Amino acid sequence: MTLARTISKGLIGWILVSIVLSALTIISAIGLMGTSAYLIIQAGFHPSIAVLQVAIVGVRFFGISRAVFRYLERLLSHRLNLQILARIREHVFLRLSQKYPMHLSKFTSASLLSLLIQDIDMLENLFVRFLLPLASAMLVSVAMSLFLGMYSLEIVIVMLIGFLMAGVFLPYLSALAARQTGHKVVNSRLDYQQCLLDFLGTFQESLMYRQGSIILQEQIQIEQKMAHFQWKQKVLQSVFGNFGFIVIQLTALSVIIVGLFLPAQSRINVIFLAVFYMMVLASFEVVQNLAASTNMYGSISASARRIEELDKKIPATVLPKKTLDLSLFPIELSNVSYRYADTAQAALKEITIKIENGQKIAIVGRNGSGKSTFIDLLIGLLNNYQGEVWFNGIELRTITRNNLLARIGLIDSQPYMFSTSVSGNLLLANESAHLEDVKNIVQKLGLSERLDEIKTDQIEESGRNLSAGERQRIEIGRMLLRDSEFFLLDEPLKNLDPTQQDQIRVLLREKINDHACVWITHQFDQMEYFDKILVFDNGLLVEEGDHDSLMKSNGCYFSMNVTN
Amino acid sequence: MILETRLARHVLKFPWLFALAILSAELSAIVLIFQLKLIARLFNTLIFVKPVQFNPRSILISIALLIAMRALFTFVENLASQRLAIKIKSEIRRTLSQRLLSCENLQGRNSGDLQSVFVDDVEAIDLYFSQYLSQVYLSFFIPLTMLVFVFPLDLLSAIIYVVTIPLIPFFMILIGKFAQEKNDRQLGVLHQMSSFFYDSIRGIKTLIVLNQIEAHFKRIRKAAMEYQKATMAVLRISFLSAFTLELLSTIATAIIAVQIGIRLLQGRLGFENAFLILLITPEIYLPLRNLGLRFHAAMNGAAAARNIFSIMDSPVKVQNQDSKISPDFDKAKLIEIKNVYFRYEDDRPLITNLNLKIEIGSRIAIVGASGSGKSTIFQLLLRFIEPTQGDIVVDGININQFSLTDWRDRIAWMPQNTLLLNGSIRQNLLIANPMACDSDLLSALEQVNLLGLIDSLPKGLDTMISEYGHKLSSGERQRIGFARILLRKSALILLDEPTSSLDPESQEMIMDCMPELPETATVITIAHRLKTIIHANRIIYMRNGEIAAMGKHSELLLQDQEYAAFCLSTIGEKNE
Repeated sequence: MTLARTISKGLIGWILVSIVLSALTIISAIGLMGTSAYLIIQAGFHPSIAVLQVAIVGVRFFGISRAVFRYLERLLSHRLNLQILARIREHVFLRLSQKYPMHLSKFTSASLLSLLIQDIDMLENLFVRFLLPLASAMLVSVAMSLFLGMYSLEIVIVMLIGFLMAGVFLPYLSALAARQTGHKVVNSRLDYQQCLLDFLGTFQESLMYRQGSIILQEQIQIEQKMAHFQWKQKVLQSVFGNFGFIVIQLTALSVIIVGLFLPAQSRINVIFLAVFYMMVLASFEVVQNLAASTNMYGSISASARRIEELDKKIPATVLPKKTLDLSLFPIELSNVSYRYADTAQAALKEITIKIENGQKIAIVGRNGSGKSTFIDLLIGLLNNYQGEVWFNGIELRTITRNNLLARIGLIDSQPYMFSTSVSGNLLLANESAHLEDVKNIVQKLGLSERLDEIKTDQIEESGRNLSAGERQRIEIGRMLLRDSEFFLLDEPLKNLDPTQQDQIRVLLREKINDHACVWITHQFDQMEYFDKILVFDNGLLVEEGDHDSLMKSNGCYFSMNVTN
Repeated sequence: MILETRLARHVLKFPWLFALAILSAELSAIVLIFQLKLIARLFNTLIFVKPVQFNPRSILISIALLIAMRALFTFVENLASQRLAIKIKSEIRRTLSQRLLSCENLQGRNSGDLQSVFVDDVEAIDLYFSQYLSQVYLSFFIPLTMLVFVFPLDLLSAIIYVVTIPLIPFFMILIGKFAQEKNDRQLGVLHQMSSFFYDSIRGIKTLIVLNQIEAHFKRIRKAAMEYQKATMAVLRISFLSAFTLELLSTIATAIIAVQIGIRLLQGRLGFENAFLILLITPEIYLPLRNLGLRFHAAMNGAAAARNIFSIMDSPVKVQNQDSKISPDFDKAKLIEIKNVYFRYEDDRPLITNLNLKIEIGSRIAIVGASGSGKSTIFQLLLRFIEPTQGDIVVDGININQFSLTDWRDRIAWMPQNTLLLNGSIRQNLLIANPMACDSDLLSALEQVNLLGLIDSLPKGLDTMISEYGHKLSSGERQRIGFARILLRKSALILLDEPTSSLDPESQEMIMDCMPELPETATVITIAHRLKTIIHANRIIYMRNGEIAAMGKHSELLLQDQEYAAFCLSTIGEKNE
């Protein structure tokens, strides 16, 4: 596992220590029961107290050491777990940032990202709940085998068979059996969820028609089906759990039986037999942890595989090499087409245009006509387009992304708000911004009173959620805080009320000043501001020209613009 | 705190299962004592008595039999408690559904959140019933049973047990409380940090375009360090509780072993009893240790239960059953919404100061962004909710004066989601108007363009929805919904026009049926399509729970910039 190597680098020493501590915890418990039994048996022979001294010390030592070892082991392993988790997160974040947007389709990227987060959470268990129990189980088995092996190989074999049965074989069988019912449980749960959504969406209509009790019955039936499969699964789990119990008890009993019926030459002292019985019984603690890891193996390895795929399968977008020091302009697109991974229709079709320095460009068109895709393409996020995009003679694909983005002022159509204060969200755009500038901008945007509030999606937390208008103004604030020479604005005045729109339009124009901009809009007032208006329809650039000439030509633009 | 009384009370509905679980566990513990007794006797015989003729076979077989009995009892205990948990979950889900039906609205929650209460939160209480609750009782009964056995054997050991056993829950509660306080203080920090990474992944595009990847990588690292610090501070305390419990039981074992060893040495105790006490010691602490292990999972369940109870406690709709007054839309002239405000308890207002006069027979379209209060108006008119302030009156009579069933019987409502009962197509249509005859049904189906489909089915109207072959498409569902509206023959019709999620063909088809609605009827439509808007007598443009503009489409386009932009961005065009 390359992933394992990446994340365990430099931690191997501590990992080994925590494995040893974990094994020592269990060995202490075994020692406690073993020495106690030995003490009592020896005492039964009424020797002098001196004979018992060693055993007494042993009992007291193990009585304390177990708790101490466990405490240390838990502290260490949980700290390691956090470190490993942090590394996985860093690793994933870097990989993702290098490969975004990968070949994600336009619509599934959000859910894929959520899946990724789930995988990382799953891997959080990797160490403490999977690797650690596994390694310490092996260590304890070896230690027990060595110890018992000094007396009787037969007993070692009995013990190891018991370990394998209860720790590996039974959990494996149970996982195998559970998979069948597991599917049914999951499916019936999905059915129930669907039925619930239906119920919640239609129960008022059922009240209109006085059918409430009927849809309640329908819902109960489906819930009962889910309950039935859950019950089957629980029965199965109980059966295997009981097999495990029986195996443990019979293994301990077999230690006595084997010990008693060994051939005379290899027979061991019955005193030791009692001690071994106690030790073997205590050692099964390790097996219980092992069973849990065996059960977890499937889901952990699946998650790990998906995360490793980030490294391997997705081809890196061709790594750009050149930095662009001179002007960005002119920008020339020739025959540019773009299609999202899972769609048949291209989002952009054979676009050819030229953007000069200082030129003000508007894009209009219906929803889904390719306007936002056009902007994503211009900022270098969609590098697998067809055709060519030249920035001052350099092809977009060969420009370093950071270099290009540093010079662009963007208002995104779906800006993301981070769970931090409003000011934190603003400063993301420019960390070295002067406090005065921030205050100034915030005031102009009417966000002053919310500056220190924490954005949250949790209902029960104290902060209020940001409204769509506030989100939009924060995104505008981000843009205003940056120094840019080319502005790409995707419906910048969306979700704002009319007075705000007028104020903010002025702010934006001041900021753009004599630089070039591409401004997507649905509103048709003050279109004279733009030197060129592009009309998009269905991914095609259907009309192009300034406001007056487009109005005269009586085409799409004219018909969209009936009010002016 | 240990029991969570309100949750625990659910057990009372299935007392036998709970009793069976406890009884089997108790029996299993008694069998265990006998098993341990036999083992002690076996070793006593082998090591000390050493009879000349001793065949251990019978005693070994007895031990094996006792093990089998224990396995059986444990199995029964498992099954009983799992069954109990499953039954209680079903019971709770049923109660929740009933409660929603009787309060008639979703209490301002969205259906996704509610679904997760029904599914996830109810699932979270499983552990509480299947593993925890019985353990609370068992951790009292089992040690007690064992004490009863130990007392006659050795008084001193019994006293040690009596003193140490209660210390376990004592420390558990004491340390648990301390850890809880510390935990609560840290929780804010912890939550913030885990959502921080979630943000980093979900917001990766924003981070890229703001050139923040490198800076953010450092932030992630810093957040992880802080997270680690905060978490470890909490863990140090909560592991301390585990440490104390562990120490208590192992040290007690050590004390018992040493003290019985010494008294055995002095000849004050027989070997068999001494060894038996040693064997019993770990078992006597086990139930309480298990309780400690399950405590956290159970408390998570108890926390989830609070979400469940908040729905169970939501107010039941007070029905105006007794009222005999029925609305008479044939004679009525005006429905008036006067100064109406609406908010769910403690929530933000959904409707503020709404004033609207609806002339009988007019066609009104309500438009506005999602969340602007459009559907709340329908909810109010249908009396699923009552105005927090203000009145809705029909010709001077407040609508809450009418009998609720009579009021609703006179209204036809087509919601976004169409109800489909698991019955025949006929049944699904008749619920709208039980008096309708077959020819009514068929003509309604013809109007919504479903007649061809129904005719092609061998059983026609009697085809069950479930045997229809494939699931009805959302368009077909909507059309059944519209057929119901036609059958209902109401004077007040509320239409929640299907949004663009519906296939365009069905959308078109449904809206082409609009003229089929009787001329005299009052039709209020939550509109998403231009055609509907253009044909309305009046358009109500809603924003943030208020009427932002009102008038005809062409007037509004000229007067209201924002309305024009709204039409273009939401509906996709201003005219055709």
